[in-house]
Amino acid sequence: MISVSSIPSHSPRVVFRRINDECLLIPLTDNIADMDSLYRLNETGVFIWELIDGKRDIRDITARLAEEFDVNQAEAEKDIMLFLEQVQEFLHFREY
Amino acid sequence: MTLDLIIAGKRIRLQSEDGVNLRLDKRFTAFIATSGGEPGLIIEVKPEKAIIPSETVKVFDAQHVEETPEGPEKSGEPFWEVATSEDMTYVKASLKDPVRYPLLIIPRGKMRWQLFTDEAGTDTDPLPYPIDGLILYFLTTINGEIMIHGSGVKCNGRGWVFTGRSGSGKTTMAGIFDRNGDRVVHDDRLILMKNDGRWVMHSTPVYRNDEPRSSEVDHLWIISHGRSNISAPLSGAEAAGLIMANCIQQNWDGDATARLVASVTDLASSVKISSLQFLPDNSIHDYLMARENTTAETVTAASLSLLEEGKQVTVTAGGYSMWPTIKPGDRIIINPLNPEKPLTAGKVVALRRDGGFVVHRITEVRIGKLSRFIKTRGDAALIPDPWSIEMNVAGKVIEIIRGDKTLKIMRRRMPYLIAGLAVVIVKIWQRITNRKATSTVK
Repeated sequence: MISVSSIPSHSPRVVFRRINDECLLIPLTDNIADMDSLYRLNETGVFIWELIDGKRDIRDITARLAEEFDVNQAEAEKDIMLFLEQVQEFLHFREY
Repeated sequence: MTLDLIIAGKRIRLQSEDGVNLRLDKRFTAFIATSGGEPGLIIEVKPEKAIIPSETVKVFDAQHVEETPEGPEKSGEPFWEVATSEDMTYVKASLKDPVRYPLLIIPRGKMRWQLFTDEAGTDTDPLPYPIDGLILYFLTTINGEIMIHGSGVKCNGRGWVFTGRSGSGKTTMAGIFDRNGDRVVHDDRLILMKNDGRWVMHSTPVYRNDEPRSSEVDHLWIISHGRSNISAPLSGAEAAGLIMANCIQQNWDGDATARLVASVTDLASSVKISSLQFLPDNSIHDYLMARENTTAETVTAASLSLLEEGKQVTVTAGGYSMWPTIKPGDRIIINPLNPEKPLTAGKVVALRRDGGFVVHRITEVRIGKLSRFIKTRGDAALIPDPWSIEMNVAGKVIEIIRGDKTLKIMRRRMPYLIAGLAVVIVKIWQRITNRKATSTVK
């Protein structure tokens, strides 16, 4: 279960490519049948993705997001959780 | 026996021991080199059977996919697989009719490969489907070249690539251009690569009467069937993602995938990319001819001199570089510069270029000893313009008139959008099929 104290890190099984303010995430796979999607993150998604470094916990990331954008802490936290859920196949989580 | 094929400008030498005849399918006939040259790749062909050594790791698996009227259907039977050891890649295909298991061995970083065809005798077919496509795939990944499901034509001196999901009309589109007397490069599968700074498309052998053809690429269209002909420019990650989705790819090797997406990003920033819905009749030919002949991005010197005299000018936008802030057909109101008000980042300005000007947005201003320098970029452009001195700015855009609406120039700001918009899933349209078509447009 992911909580605000979980520390996300990037999975090595994904290729990240930044393109201007956005990015593409391409999952690596060992079966052609699983090769059906790639992902595009918008600017905010890229901002969060680049904050994920295996050291910051979700609480830190939320604080940085709320600092950078015009959004309150509670709203940012809700959105980050939703975001992490959408890209969870590309992340590992550990508890501090 | 030695046989050289030239595909996408690459010389591939097939070599077998004396007494072993290489029997190639008719689809390669026009690709056989008729003059000498140094090969980029040598493949030693042996008719024996070889198996993947046990100390390897299986990294990729592909099953047969049958093309049925209801769409592609996986049969679950093995088709080909990839295994690797520290310094080798092994690619094994499972062929039916007759049953055999050709094995391609690629030593890492070497341009001398081995192919065991598993066809005992003095006569062997070295390039059965899908071995031919797999060789091309592994060859193109070395330099990050792009193998794409797409048709390509050359019309009026311009090279157009049409790509899209299965059934989107790539072959239909090629057929329409063919009937108009335009040159069809290929109607199914292309190799795109950069030569001397320009993207070029090459045909690949797929059908019986294919031949080597190529053209520079000016515009890549992501096509789908529609109720009318309509196009819209695409840029950035959206454009790159949609191209990537139609590339032939095996995403088990992170380095190869990274090279491919880097090339696709370069393609999307060097060539115009648009979505295109079309009607499968000749109207799309006329539509594209008309659309591509408008070059109103630079306007006449007359407006320039008016600005220099301190007068306001109105010009009509022709290009897409400022999409969606400015769309083709919009009327742009430009004021002369006010020396009292220095230019700042975010402003949209008319920049002198080639006797006319282009309208782009300032992204950065730097103060030098003698002049202020500005960096500009079209909102839809991936690559910024080079730095220019402030004197090159002819005027400042103050309003856009679209239809009967007047739009203020908005400062581009970083949106806060997460929910629902952060992740856009782009479907990869893989078509690994055992369909073997024999007809094509020529």
